[in-house]
Amino acid sequence: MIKGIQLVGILVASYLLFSTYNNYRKRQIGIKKTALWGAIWLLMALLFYDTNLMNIIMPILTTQDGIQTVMVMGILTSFIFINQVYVKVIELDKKMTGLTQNLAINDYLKEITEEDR
Amino acid sequence: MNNNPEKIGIFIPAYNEENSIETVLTNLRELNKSIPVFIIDDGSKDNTRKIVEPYGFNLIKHPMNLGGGAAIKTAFVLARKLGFKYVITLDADGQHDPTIIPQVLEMMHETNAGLFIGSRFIDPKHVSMEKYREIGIKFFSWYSTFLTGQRITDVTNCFRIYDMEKVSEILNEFNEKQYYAIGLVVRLARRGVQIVEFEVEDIPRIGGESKKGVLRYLYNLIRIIIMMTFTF
Repeated sequence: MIKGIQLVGILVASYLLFSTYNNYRKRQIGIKKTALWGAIWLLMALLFYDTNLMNIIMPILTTQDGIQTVMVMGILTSFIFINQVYVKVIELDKKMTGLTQNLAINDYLKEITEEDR
Repeated sequence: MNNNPEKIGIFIPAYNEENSIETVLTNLRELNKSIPVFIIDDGSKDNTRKIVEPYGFNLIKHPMNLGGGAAIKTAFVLARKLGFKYVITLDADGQHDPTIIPQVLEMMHETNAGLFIGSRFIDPKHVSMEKYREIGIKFFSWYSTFLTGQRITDVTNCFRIYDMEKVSEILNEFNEKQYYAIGLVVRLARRGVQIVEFEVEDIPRIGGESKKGVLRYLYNLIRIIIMMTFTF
């Protein structure tokens, strides 16, 4: 029998999984990110569905109980998330710098072309 | 630009330099008129633009502050678009004497160098900077020499002449917005570009304040050491 907390976990994980797929479909994220986040949310859904799966993960993470395992996995996932956000910020900053530079150059070139006329 | 057969341009990045840029521009006006001067205003919030405009030099305006490295990259991209063969860079704070440019150009034609760097340490009598900065520059120069196999004594000096053909090869990977000077030297040297230094005086900045504080300098020291070591 599925408990209330399991149901909430499964629903949240399913929503995140669907959201990841949706972002991929709209080409907002690439195949690598879809695979990474898809795997994370799928694992989360499975763990909430069958809590006995914790017994497989606990020896790998050398954790004592289910709560500790969930905490460790949550922290690791947040590290991945922070890294993804950081990479995205750097990427956007680079793009914005490039656009600003091109804008300044194009403005100057337009100005001298107009002066030549 | 037809009266510029050598296709050389002087590029000066400037950010909040209202106290010093006027002297630099006055000195540049005395120079050989056939070399065009470009001021890259990096989003200054003071009167830098207003001071530059009456001189009639080419003014490129960043709508916001991007950093010295980004301003230099703008200079390179524009120089490439205009078909320049050489790019001369100077600081806008008056630390570089533009009147020696004709001599340096003559010297450059006698070598096969792709990068000419002004050095304040060729004659140590010229050095008058703060001790911590001198130690930092000497360390970076020693480390650059170690990494590139070419003798470099003043790797942070931005009074430089770049061969645009060589710069074009690394332009896409050059994205340092701040503290770009060292990375650029290492990148070019690792592409086999010959680096030659010329003697310059250590002139204190005319006015305003340096944008490099001690803590920021230390943080960037560590960051640049890591970057230099892993730049391929």
